[in-house]
Amino acid sequence: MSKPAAAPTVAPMAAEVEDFQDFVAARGTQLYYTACLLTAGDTHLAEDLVQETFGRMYAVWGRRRRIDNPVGYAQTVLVNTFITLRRKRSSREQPVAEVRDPPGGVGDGDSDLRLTLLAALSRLTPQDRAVIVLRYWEDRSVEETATALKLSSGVVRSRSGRALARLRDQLGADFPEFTAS
Amino acid sequence: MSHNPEQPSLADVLEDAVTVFEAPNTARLHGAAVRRGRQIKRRRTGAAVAGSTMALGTAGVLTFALTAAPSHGTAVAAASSGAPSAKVVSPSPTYIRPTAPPVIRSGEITGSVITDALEYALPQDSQVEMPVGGFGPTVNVEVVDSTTHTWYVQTAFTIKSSGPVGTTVAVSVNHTAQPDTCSSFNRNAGSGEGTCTQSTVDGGKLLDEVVPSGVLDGTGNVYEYFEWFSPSGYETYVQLTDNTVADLALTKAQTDAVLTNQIFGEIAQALPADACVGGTFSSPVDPPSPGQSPLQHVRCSSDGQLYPSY
Repeated sequence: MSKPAAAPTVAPMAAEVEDFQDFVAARGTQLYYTACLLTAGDTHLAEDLVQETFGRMYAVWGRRRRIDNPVGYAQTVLVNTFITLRRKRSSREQPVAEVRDPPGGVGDGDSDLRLTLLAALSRLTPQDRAVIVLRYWEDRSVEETATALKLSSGVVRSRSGRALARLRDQLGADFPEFTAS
Repeated sequence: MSHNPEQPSLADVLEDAVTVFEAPNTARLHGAAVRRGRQIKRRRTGAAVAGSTMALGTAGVLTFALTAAPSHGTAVAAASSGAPSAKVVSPSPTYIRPTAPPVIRSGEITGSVITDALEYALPQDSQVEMPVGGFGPTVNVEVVDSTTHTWYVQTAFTIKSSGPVGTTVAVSVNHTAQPDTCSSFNRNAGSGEGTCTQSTVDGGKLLDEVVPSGVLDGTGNVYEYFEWFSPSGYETYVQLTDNTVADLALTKAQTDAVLTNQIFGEIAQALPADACVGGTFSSPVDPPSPGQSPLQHVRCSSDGQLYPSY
């Protein structure tokens, strides 16, 4: 076995680089917010997840035409990376009772309510959280969510129902009447 | 469930919740993604240096770089004079550093094993914060390098350095060492775009390759690569990335100790023998399911099997 004599071309072409940069600029914020919800407010982990997601996309960007839906592809990579990472880290982590304060701190009632929601999300299992985020934040259908998470549609429905019930229980008086649709 | 317009939907509630987070710096996200993407591509292609499409420079420029480029000499001197070594980020409250090497079993090199091995191999006065804003722990578990046909595992995360950002430490262990030399490094990197020195460490050949800031990406990072070819035939590879060589968190001696740590030899032994010997791999194909890890597979021409790859 020997290495190629010539240096392999491993970087996308210039136009593709600009294209990728535009994609990150256009989708980075939304994907980061998705990651923030998946991690229930762990902004460091959220940023890591987004970087890993875009890094993997960059590595295949020259062949992106084989990715029918780059936006959906990025979401799928993100949630699966998140779930995989949580599995790997679960043995060394302990449950989090409180989410950390976001930058800027808290103080008003609205912020408290938002933090209550993030705390409630943090008490869901990672997979249940992914179901909720994909279904109600990314507005994916049951079938799309099932495909992304490699679950059956029935499992997605049952997990979604269970997670919504838990959220309602925990949010209580703060959001007594919110609807799932 | 019907939707009363006066009641907030869950989507509304989630939309409201994310307003507590500051929007990310997408330029920084892009820079980090490019670094990570190049790292993945580098392993996929087996190139000595990722992303270098620069034109070849002149021999004179190379001579200057070899003479003038910073090296670990400064860091080694600081460590030997009693300065703190390998400063790291304060650990998260949930962080638990492994106190014993992971158990290595053939066919069971999981992500936890390779990550624990690196944490164990790092200097004992260091502690690794898991995700710290740069690279979090990222793991490639038992994948095939489609160029060299060897199996490898890889992990990367960030430890604190003396500079404003942490040092990204990436380690990969290859079952079979490749015939790299400084010549192949310079050919791949482009003369004048880096320096390479060869030495002997613990009975094996060591290549120490420095690529100055601004060569591999637009973020101004410097890259230092170490490839150690063990006498027994495996290869350990460490990549350090930071703003400048002076900020790199590990000294040369500390990096040598990581490279030659016995735990990586055990991991290399537990990896399968080279794949698709005598055959060639197809161009990478996407896995059956979007998002499946690893993201790509390659098919061997001789046995027709799909192998995980990056």
